Amino acid sequence: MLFNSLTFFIFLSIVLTAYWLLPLRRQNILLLVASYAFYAFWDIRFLFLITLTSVIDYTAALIIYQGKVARRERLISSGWLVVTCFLFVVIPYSKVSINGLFTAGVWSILFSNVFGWKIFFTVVSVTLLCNLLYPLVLKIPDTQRRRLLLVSTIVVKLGLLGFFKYYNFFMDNLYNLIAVTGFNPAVMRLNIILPVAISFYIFHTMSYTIDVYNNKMVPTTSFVDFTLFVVFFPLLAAGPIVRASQLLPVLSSQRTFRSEQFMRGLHLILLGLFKKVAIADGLAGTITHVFQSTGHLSWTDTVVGTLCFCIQIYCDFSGYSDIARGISKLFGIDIMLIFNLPYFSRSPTEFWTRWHISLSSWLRDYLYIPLGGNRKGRIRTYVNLMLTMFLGGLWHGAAWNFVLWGVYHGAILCIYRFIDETRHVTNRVESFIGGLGKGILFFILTCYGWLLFRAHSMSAILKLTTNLFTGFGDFTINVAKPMPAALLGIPLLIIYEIFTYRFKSDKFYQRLSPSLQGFLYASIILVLVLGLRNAPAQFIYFNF
Amino acid sequence: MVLSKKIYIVFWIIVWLVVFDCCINILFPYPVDTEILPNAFQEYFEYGRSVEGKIKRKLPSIERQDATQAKGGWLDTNRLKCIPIEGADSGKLITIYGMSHANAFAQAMIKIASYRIRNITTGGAPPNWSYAAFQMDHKLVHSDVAVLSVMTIGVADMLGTSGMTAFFEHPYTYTFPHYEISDNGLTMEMPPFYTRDGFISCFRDPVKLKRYTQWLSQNDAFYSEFLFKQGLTDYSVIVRALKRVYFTTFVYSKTEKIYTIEKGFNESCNEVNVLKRIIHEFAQTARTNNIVPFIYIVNNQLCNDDMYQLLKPQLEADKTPFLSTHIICPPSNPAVYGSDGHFTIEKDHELALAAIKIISGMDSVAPKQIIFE
Repeated sequence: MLFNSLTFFIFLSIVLTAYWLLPLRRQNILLLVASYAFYAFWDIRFLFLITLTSVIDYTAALIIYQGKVARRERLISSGWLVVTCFLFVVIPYSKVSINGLFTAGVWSILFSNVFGWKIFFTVVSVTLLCNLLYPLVLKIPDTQRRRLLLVSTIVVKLGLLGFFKYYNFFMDNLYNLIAVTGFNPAVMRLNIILPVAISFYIFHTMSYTIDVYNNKMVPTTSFVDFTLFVVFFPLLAAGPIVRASQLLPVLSSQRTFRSEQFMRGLHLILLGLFKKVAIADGLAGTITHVFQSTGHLSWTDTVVGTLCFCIQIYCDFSGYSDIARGISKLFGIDIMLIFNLPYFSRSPTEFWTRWHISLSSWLRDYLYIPLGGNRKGRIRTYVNLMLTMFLGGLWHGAAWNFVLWGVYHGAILCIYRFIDETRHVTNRVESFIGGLGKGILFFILTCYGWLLFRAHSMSAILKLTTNLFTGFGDFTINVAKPMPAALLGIPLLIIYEIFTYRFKSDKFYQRLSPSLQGFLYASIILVLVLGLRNAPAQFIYFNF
Repeated sequence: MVLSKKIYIVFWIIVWLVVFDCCINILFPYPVDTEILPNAFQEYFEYGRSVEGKIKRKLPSIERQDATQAKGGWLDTNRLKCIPIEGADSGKLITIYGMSHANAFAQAMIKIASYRIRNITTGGAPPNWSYAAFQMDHKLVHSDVAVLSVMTIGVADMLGTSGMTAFFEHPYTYTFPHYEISDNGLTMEMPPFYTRDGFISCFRDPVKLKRYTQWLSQNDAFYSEFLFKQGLTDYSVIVRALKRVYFTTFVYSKTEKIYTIEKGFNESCNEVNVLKRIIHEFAQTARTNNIVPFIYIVNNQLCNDDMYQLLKPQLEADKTPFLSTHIICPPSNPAVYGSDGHFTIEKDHELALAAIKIISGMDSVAPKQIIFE
């Protein structure tokens, strides 16, 4: 169920209407059920992974903070784990049909999923074991117990992430490495499906436990609130990675309907749809032509394709984030800003405070700073930056191009930092190219980064890079033209963003007269309507 | 924000949308004179007009026989008999049946002038049009070689019965039969009209048009009353744009069951099986009539070699000679395509040379497999 589909808006309307008719506790239960249903549209089996991570972090955080979990909460979380395992893993929904129930019978269908039953019995056994070991865990000294639980939860979750997302990548590279030595071991590749949003909810929950461990927040005792924090559907599929300290208090308190907030939500949804449907999807054809090309590409093709992807990824992801924030506002929940005019950045440091803010701040707070940040000398700072960006790149996907993209940005950050530290060079450079020049230079560097990000293989990166540096002069254009809605939408978006930059607020439109606001919305609606013809595509960040 | 301001904003949104709508209609009016070709903007904003609206505007020029889109595509024996022979003055006669790709291929063959060529093609022709054209034509003019063209994205168009329903944005006036597999081979359901005169008579007579739309609603999967019938909605640019969106979604809901770029062909669907049967029956009929059958497989841009992979087993089983474009024109290479999605002239020339090489190796109509590598 994509945000840009009619099905989603029907679903949203139903949930939203019911939501504002219910009291708080029931609002949260409704949102929880709706969020599970939303995820089940992709693959119901992987809902169990979400339940598992929710239960682990919920109980671990309570033990870390208060040294115990009340019997009732233990029973609820254990019961929920077992029930959801049965519901989501054991029942083979693909085989269930009304006719099937009559012909094959309920039991034969239920017992047809042997693998599901194996997982079920394992989960039941482990749950019982954990409950049996619970008194022993309480006897461990406080400091050791806290550390043990923190490390255990991190290991389990990184283990899940590593298995589902990186197993085949690491195995392939390991075999390639072994093959260099002359051995040819049997390949142990597994047919693993990447669960949607796994990178996002793993990071979501990790930050919660770490914050509780570091006494930055008090864990919640409400299992419903915590589970809702993990699966809240506007943020589930592709973030933002909202901190528990920001979202949980909102989910635990009374929300009131405010028309101001509701209107702002609608504005963000409209803006997000405009970016995604009219621009990002309108550029998709051109980009596919360039990056999936096996034949000759001119210099202009490569530049146009890269520039289009630079715009597409921004519109796709910031469009998604705008819609997610907008939907949250419709439910009376405010979510942090995720994109703050990133292409207006004049330096790599500024870029990472404007691009995918929730991820970059997560990496800063939970990786870069714990590694020592910039407090342990110049060399160590560079190492920390490179390591953070390397892992940031790898977070996006199990492929070398993402790693290369991360390392590339890490290198740019290091070089910039080095230049910045050498003041006299900075001054000379600044006086020479000026602020605008720096912005343009950094934009070009960012664009090349996107080429690394989008290319599907190392050979493609090599081909496109060679083309960029040696093919200048070949100005023929072979690639398909972007869709008219994208061509109309891009200037409109640029004007919108220039105003946002000038007014230093993304609410600048509220200061305009009703006729001008009407003009702005009518322009966006017109381009959006024209763009609805574009082939709908999944949001790029759903793959991560 | 006070309520009155919100109401004002909504009011102004509506006002501006109406203004934009009127401005676009005034700035980019579709030429009334059918002799004048519309520019890109005029064309773009007209795509969503109803089929009936578009056709009726062109009807006078269709009657004068000067509307490009109405010239071709009629499965009319009188028209087929008059198709000129081009290319070489003597030698084998090759008749090419198919869509615009086949037309470009035929033009390239004509230029090479190794053989005599008859070009029986029309824009967007699905395999059932090409097969029906062959079935009618081979009884009128004897060819030495018959080339049946099929393309990846054309298979789903077999769901339709007319270029009007399958190509809503740019409707072609021709009609074609619908085929079903039966015990005796293929059964054919002919549309109520398949000549230009029949078409004009239908669109000039409201009773006949009503009867035709009723027939379409029963026999044409692409028919939608909302898209076909003329109405007030034709006057608004925004509603026309929304109609395009509806068309895209509506058609995709039908065609995705047959082919998608991501999943390829659904080999269990009826149209794919009908296509394979058409390929088989075409080869048999041709050989029975002392004609060499030849299949020209067009693999559309970004569609991999899906069409080739789908038909290869059938063609090998029947030992039918064929040329698949994917070797000369890889679907993933944008450089081999022009801006309209057709192959470049150079590539069509290469394809024609490859076809000639295969055809020259065919000394009899007996089944013979020649694979171009």
